Amino acid sequence: MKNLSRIASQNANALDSKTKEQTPVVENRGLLNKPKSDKIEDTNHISLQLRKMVKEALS
Amino acid sequence: MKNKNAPAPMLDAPIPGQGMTAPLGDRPWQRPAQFSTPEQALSFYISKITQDRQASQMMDILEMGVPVDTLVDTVQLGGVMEGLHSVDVGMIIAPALIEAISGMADKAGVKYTRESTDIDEEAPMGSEIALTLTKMREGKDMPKEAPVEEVVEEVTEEEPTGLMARRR
Repeated sequence: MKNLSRIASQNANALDSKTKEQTPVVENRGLLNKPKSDKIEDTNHISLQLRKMVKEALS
Repeated sequence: MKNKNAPAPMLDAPIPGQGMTAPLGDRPWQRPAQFSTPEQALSFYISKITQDRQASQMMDILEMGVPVDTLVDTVQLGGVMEGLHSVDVGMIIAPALIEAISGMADKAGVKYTRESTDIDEEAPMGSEIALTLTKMREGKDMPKEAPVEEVVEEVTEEEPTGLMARRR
């Protein structure tokens, strides 16, 4: 049987490295490109957010 | 005609469809999960694993050589079977649980294996170590040490040889 948690962990690591590699997008301040919601603070995947929370709590 | 290469039939296997004979909703995982969000499920597990007794048991398991991801998999799949959360929520919280348990082991100074791929094939298994320890306790199969002979050094006093030396 496959170890689901290992796959999930590898997936989170891959997502983490992918988000680190991404260059910040230059904001277009045009009227048509207005952000739909201002409430979104962290766009990372929920598993990454939770892992970050646990890391911070343990440190 | 009999196919000699065909595998022998498994007679103790369940009958096809047996898993669907229980009424729908009879199993815990068929009912709505107790924790519907990853945050709720994670806080439940964190509060459980940080209890003294549970934490010490977990550290013992890690010291025996069980990888952290295997331990987390067992824990979260157990939660799914008990109807605590869905498989999806379990997959989402798994990296955070791995991080939490690894951090706890680091703080406790326990040597552990993080991923099941990190296992050293030549390293003795936990069960082998336990068996050897039991044998050592019982005193079986262990080479008996030869009795150590006490070596008594004879101290011989040298007699003075000079002209002015006194003789006894």
